[in-house]
Amino acid sequence: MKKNIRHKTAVSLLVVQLILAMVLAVVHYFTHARMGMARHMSHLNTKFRAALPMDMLVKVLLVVAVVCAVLALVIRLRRGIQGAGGWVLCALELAAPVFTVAYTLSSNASKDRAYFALVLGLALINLLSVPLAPLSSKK
Amino acid sequence: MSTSFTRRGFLGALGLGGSSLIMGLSACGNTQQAETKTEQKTEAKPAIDNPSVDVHKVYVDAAWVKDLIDGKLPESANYALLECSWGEESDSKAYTGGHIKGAVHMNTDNVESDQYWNYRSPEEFKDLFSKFGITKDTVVVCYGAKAVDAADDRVALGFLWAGVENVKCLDGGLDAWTKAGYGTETTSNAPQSTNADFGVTIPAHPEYIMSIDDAIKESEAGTVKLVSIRSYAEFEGKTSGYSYIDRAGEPKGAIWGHDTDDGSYATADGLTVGKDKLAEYLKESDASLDDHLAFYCGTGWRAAIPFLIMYQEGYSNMVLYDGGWFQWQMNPDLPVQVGDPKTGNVEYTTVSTLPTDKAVKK
Repeated sequence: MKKNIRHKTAVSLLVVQLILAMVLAVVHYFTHARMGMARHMSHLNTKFRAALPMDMLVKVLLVVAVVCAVLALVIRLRRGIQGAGGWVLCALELAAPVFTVAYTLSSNASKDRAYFALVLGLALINLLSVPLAPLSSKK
Repeated sequence: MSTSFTRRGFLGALGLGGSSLIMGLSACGNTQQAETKTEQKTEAKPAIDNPSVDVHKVYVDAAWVKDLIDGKLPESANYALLECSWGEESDSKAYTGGHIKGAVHMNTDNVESDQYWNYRSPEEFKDLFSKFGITKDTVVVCYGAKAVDAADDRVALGFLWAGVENVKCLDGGLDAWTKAGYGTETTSNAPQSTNADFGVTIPAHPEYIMSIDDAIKESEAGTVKLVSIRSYAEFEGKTSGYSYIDRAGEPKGAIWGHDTDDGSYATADGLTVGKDKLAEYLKESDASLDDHLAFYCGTGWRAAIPFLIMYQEGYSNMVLYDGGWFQWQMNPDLPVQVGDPKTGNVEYTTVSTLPTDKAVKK
């Protein structure tokens, strides 16, 4: 793949991850700060539960996060990590699955009404780290 | 790979990591805030002899509450003062910004369950009372930010339903307190729990709350008048009034009892109106205080106010239909009206035909 296409695709993926993370942070904040948002999330949770086996899905997404993290790390190490920035990127890309595991295990929909939305959003962030890994590596 | 990507990649990754950190910190913070230290008190406090105001009087003025907390009243021997609002204590500006001395924050989530925002189960109320050191003999004083705030009324009615015998609401809320020239404190007060028995089986007054099943049965039989305590736009079906309710309309046969949020139940001084004003609103729809009335709104906050107005006047022919429009519009088969029956411009249909784009856009 041409270098500049790789470059642009990698940056785009990173930006999407960043935007997703910020959206999740905003959703989490307002779910705790605003009653209307909290009730809205509660209502969404009811819809999630009606449409999908959420408890099972959460466990699956947890496994997906770990698998994505391992895969992305292996890809980066095999292809080579470029410079200090590359190592920082690698470490920070690991922050997403680490946070995902910690949050998924320590919280639940009763404690945090934004739980399902956050778990789904974090899954997407983790999935994006896999295509990002080869694009942001040396080779 | 080029240096420019490395630099951009670093900044982007920093933002990603930073967002993760922010989320992590706020998630952890919220979990920690949910745990409140409570001091164990085991002895039951006595019932109040010779209360200074009638036990059934709900709305009390700031001067009475001041005398209460200064220990000048018989009720001072056993009371709990609750600042009522939604959210954890740290998120409640009404509490953290300055509350009445000795007040404890009461998150309305403590009395409402997530499913339909209806009152919680008797067992959950029992645990709540134990955590807050409340028995049936405790004089509970609730207050919100101002008169139109219905959080305190919602909590108050729940407590009356459960069996607390003497429940008061500070008329006019914290606004009235500060207008009276009384000061506030910002120290956080933890509830003082008790192992004492609540004193009566919860709920002591199941007749105060009407379930959706009974609301359907009784409204079909014509044995109750459903009174909508919502805005006219909600009553007409122009908007659901809520960002999380997609449909607009009213249960079939409902009459309009005016909204509390627009000040219709507040005097010019910011205090709660009396039964005469309520009677006036009911008369507009050929109803009266003598009818069997079921007040409701979206999820039961606003409707608590006219209930308490009638309660303190000694009426017993009223209930709160707890599920409100929220629960009603969840059942596609239930009969609804869209429009105002008084004007003749009304359509009678079922929930299933209602459009789902009536939620308030934020």
